[in-house]
Amino acid sequence: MDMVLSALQAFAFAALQAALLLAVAPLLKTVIKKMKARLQNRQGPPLLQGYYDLAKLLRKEPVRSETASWIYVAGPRAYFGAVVAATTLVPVLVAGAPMESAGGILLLVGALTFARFALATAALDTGSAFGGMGASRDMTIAALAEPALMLGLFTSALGAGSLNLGELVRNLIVHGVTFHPSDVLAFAGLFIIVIAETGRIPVDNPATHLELTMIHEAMVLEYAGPDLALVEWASAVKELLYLTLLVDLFVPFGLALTAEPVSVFVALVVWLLKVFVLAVAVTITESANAKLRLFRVPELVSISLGLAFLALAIRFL
Amino acid sequence: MNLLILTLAVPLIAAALGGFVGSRRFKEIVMVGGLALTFILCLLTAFEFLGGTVPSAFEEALRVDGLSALVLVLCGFVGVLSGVYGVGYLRRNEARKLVTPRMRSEFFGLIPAYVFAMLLVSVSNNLGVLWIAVELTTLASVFLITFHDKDTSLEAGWKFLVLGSLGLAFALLGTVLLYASGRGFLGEGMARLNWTRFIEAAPSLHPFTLRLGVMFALIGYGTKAGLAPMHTWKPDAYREAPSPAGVLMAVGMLNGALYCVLRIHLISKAALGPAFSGDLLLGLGLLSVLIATPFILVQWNLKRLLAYSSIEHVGIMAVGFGLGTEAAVFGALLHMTYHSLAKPVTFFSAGTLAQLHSSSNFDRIGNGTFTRAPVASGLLVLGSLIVMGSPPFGIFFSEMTILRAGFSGPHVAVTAVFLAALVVLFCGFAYQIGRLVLGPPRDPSDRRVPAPERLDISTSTAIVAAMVAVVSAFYLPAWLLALIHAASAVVGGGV
Amino acid sequence: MATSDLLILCAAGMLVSAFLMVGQRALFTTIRLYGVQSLFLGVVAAVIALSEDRHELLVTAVITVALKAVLIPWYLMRIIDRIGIHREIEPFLNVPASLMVCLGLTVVGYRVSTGFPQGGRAASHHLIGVALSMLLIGMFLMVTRKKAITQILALLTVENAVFLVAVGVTPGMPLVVELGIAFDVIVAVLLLGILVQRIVDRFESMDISRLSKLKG
Repeated sequence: MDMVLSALQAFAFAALQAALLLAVAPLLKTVIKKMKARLQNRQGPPLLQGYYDLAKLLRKEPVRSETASWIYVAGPRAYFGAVVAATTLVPVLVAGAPMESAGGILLLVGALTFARFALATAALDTGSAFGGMGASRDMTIAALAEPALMLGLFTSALGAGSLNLGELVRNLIVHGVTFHPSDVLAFAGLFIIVIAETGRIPVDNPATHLELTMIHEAMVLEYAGPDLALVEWASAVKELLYLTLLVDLFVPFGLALTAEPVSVFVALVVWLLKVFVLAVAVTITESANAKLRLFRVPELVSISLGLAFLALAIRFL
Repeated sequence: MNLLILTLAVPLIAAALGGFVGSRRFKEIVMVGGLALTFILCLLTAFEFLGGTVPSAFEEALRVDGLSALVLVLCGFVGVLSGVYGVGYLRRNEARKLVTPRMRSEFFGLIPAYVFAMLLVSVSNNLGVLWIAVELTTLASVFLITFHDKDTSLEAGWKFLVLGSLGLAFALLGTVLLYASGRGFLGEGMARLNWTRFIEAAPSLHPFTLRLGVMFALIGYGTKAGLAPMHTWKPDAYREAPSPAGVLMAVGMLNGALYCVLRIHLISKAALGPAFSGDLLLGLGLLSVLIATPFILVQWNLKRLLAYSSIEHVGIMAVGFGLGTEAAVFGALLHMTYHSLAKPVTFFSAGTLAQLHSSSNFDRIGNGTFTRAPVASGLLVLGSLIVMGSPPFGIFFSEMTILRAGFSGPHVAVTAVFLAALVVLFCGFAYQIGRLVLGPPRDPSDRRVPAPERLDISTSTAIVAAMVAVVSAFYLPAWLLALIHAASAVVGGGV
Repeated sequence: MATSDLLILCAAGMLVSAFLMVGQRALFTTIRLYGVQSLFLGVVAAVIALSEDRHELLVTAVITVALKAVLIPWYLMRIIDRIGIHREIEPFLNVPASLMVCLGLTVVGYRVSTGFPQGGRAASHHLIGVALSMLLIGMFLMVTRKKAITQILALLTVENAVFLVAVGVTPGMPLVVELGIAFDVIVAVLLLGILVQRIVDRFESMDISRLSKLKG
């Protein structure tokens, strides 16, 4: 009986957390867009633009290619589902993830990889040139980014002594963070990965549809209406998820240790603040750099791989 | 006023005056007068030291012991020689309309400044001041190397500055690490970087930090001395620098850099025993001699030949210091003295030949220069004989002293290799110079006939330098010998 | 945040910036990275100065920030602007290989740093480790970069590493010496800049692999 109850509790918790991330994600996207616009002396979109866009897309009728198979239809849904599932594995407000008994870092990376797989296959499905190109580019980067992501996560996990994100964060908070240079290196490495994974400059430009360079936009070029809404929404959640992950691993202060309303509320404010700071960093990176040529992107990702390796090596010296 | 400070102030004032004001005539007088006065002051400082007092200034940041006095006097000597020769050198170029006012200011400003920096090196007791002084020599000499503003001189200047700065960064790191190894035993204030403090505190220095520091500092200052494998800037810089600056580099800078190397070596010796830095010096010295060998055999340029000869000689001195016995150290210091006296002759005569032919490449000068420029060629042969180490001249004796010390010590095999390299170098140098001066002209009709040689200031300076070099083989004044002995006492033998 | 945490943060930041310099191809970004690196160095000096009551180190910090984080980057950017060269770096060795080498170098640097005595400061070990690694990375950059400006940057990275050792493990250099060193560094950079301009005027390129007439 207890088990059922705690399982129910966990599901409710997971649903709440997923809902929170789903709710905040479009805002994050718009905030970055807005800050970027401000840096370029433009007005930028209103803060709620992300929600308007989603609402508009969801209201529209889906337009699908005649040659599209069920994979095309399933792709966005699987992508969305995988990303939402991944959110339940990461501590956001409380020092513990809702589904942490299901798995830790490995499952998280697995879920995100599945999301990527779903989107890439769906992009290939219609046989359009852009979809295939985008999928192949995305996979090229992923081949390098994934090991770097794993390595970076493992290195940070090493310090806390657990692969389970919930336990990891609790250890960090309870024992106090002992600072080590490898943390900084791992952070730098993971930050580059986040930039690459979320399709930001200098890896990809979310604002253009330039056939020579686009990656993410090329993959979703065929989609319209609710399908597109799902993809865009999930992508925004993914970005928020990555930033949250960085925050959890390196500055876990402020997470609520108990489910008391007050401490959860404090945790919410602190979390929003921390994510906002990272968003500023992302904006600055986007504004200060030029888009890299595509075949230079692996070089950038290899830097983060190198940083992650270094972090691991230094940890033992 | 403190004599030591005056010694340093005179070339600095001469540099300021020569660099910024006055007509050509005025600049010439200032440079020659200033450098001559500097030499006299150097001698006076040395005599003050021999008289029993230790001249020092600024909390002993500048301090003259035996080693300093010897290097100081040699620097002063070569300074005045190159100053006088330089006046003639520039006049020759003026006659050929090669000199712009900017070049004139650079020349008359930078040569005394370079001399100043070298003198500062030779009297620095504070390791920080020492580093700053060496950096100053680098900065002062860059624009002397790029003086002629040709493609090749820019290349040489760039290599010199980059490599030199890297070497100096190493030397700075070495200095910092040496200081760190002191762990508070060195006292307070400016004087805590003093070499004398380091020697006093030697037993309490932290060994690992010291070892690392000594290694970096030796490599760093070794770069400035032109020890292989950090020697690559040397041939380029010697070729491109005007001869008066070249001689300052080949003698003054070389001695100064060796002075730095020795200071570090002595700290290491006092703290870690003679083996660590001694063996390092021995290795670098032997490598320098060995590396110079093939390049001298196939050399295509007269001034580069002299550069490799200079790499050889710094190698010989390093081997002498590395062997570390009393006799070897004395031999090395004697070698330093004789080399400083003889090297200007070869540089001045080679410079004259190069000026006459507008190039220092062997194929541009052509063989058989004796028929065209008998004085310069004769001096070149004489200078080369001395520098190569042929009897009865001084370098022969100093080399013999080092060799004998080597064969009677534990490093017999090393000494044997060293000896073999010296023999090959002797033959190679003799072959190159002999071919150049005495060899039959390859194609008499094609060869450009240079302007006739005239007995101007430069040539007279070269003759005087040759006389000094020859006389020194048979008679070293008692005070100079006393200085060498005093320096030898500082560097120390035995152990 | 404890003092040692702040020191480690800055030191590691310096290492990251050195590492990014290896992987970076845009000349301007490399210069900015150098500026950031120097800023971190200045913060390290300031933190040590304040936490250990060594006020002469504050002067070092100010000089470092003013000179190396602002003035030198500005000067180098001005040179690039003036001579209008191609703004991408072409290393002799490709980026992943360079990164691998630098990884090894960093491990070596860190390994060597373990031989130092345990000082009073907890972060000393990391400061030296980072400094030695940066020294090696700087030398590596020096060897593998063709452009004159990047060679200057490599040299300056080495210089930063030396300064990190100086503020990190010594009880502070005498101020006079410190000032002398700072003066020398700026003059050296000035001269290097002038030489670069003359080289570009002459060869119409900043590619120093063209400087290869002198051999043998």
